[in-house]
Amino acid sequence: MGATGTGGAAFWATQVRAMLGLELKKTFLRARALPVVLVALLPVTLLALRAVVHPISGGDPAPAAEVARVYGHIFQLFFLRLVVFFGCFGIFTYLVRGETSERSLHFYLLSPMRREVFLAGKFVAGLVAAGALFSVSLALQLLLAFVPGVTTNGTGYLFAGPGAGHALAYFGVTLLAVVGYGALFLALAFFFRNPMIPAAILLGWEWINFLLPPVLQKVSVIHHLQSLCPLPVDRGPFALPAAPTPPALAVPGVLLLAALLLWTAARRARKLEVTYAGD
Amino acid sequence: MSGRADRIVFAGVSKFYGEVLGVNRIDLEIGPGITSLVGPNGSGKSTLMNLMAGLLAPDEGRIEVLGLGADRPEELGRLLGYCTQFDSYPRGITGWDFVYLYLRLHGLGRAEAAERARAAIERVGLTAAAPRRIAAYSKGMKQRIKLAQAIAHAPRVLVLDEPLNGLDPLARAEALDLFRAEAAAGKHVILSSHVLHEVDELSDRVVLVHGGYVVAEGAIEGVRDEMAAERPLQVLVRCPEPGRLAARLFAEDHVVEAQIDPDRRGVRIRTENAERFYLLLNRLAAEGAVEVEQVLPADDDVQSVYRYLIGGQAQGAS
Repeated sequence: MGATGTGGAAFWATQVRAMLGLELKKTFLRARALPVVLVALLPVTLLALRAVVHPISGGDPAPAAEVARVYGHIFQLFFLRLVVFFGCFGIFTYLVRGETSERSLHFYLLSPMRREVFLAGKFVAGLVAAGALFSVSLALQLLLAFVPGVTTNGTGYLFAGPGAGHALAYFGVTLLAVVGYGALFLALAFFFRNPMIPAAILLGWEWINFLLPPVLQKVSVIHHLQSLCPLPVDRGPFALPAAPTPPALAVPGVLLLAALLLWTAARRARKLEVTYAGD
Repeated sequence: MSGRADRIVFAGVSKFYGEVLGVNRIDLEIGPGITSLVGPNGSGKSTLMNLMAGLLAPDEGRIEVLGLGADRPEELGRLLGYCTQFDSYPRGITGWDFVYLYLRLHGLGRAEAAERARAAIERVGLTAAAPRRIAAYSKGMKQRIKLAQAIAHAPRVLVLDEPLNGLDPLARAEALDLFRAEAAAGKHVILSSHVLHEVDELSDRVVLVHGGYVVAEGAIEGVRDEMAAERPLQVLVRCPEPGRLAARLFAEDHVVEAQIDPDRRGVRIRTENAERFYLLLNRLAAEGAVEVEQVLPADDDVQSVYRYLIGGQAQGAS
């Protein structure tokens, strides 16, 4: 008989590790990942410009609390809603659609791998790549937002004051967003040949979330993520007030949604066929 | 099920791509040894292979590979190696990684995967090129690295889709030796090829595919015998007095044609009953009625059989 392999968690873990190594090589550590990296670095670029321009223009350093409030808006309205959303779209849909467009899906499907493990491997690879990318972006954003000379006692606020707790919360929310949006886009990629259209609809739904009745607001990823953010943001005069979901519900809620989406995608993956000509 | 534990079985298998027929109502059993799928482009050979490997699911019917359902990829992948016709690879991958990472996906540890990858790559003669990216390989090298991947995990079933494409004569001879060695080890080697004379020499049996249907199967000679009633067997008898032999054979009811060769050194005979013909020829030779120098089956190879079955398209396939 051929290669060893008995199934079970250890065997599947080995397969997922092998997939992770391959995905990092062929997908993420390559030039084609550059657009996603640039998207992730957009807020960093804006904050870097501020850090450079503000002292030159002779502006006084802003109080740390004020900067924290403004950064809360940047994080929720720009980083979370757009950067992480589109970044996850690019990363997780490519993990599946890239295999068919590059006609390399058979490499995986010929191995003795359960389709569920294939899905898990893809998800883990996406999590590692997106998690690392957006965490680095977030860390740079925070450092630049509270850089001395631009923010009064910024480093003290960030490392010894309430900013440390906020930063931890932002990292947690970012990783949870990667889990939620990642599962969503991975599932979309299994169901749609062109996941762009459902993703656009989803973006619209997430974007108008604050205008929806409170019950419908909770039927979204962004509502739960925003509920976990340390500082509230002003959502404008047209926003319908909805009570934030408690962390004890928001975190399991997003994780449960992700699990449900992955389970659905796994059922689809069982029927995956190699028909490149049709793609 | 146990009786089929050493066979690959297609039972009433159909596969459609939308409204386009892939294969239709295929009933086929493939045992150990070398089996060749022969047919023109689009005849359904690759579809049969993809179904066998679990890359496609049948719309109707059932497939078993050594007693295992083709819908169980996690087990099928262990016992089957597939050298596909797809000339695409994970982006940026080297020859070494192509084989090594595939073995890692089999759950092998790093050391064992590396050892097996080294052995497989060496077996196809690509050791020096292994660290290079596959994108920079020639067509023949790509064929060989795919072959290395297919054999690396020592599968019991080897499925090879046009494995000789792009190989130079030396590499081709080495590949043929490899196939023979795998078959001699009791494995199932299923290959498709348009190089019909090589298939003829190599195969224990052939499956002729055309338009999504299996039109004939069995050992080359067996396939030919099955067709004899519809299409007489053609034999070339080399002899110094071809006119005399032709006149004698014409008296037999199973001989439908006896044509003297242009060089006047032999007779081409078409008979509907090969057994009676050979008995008669032996008797005539034994009695000294004719002198026979050589008897050659003039159309007993795959190409002739194939041409009979599917007409002019066989020319394009050869």
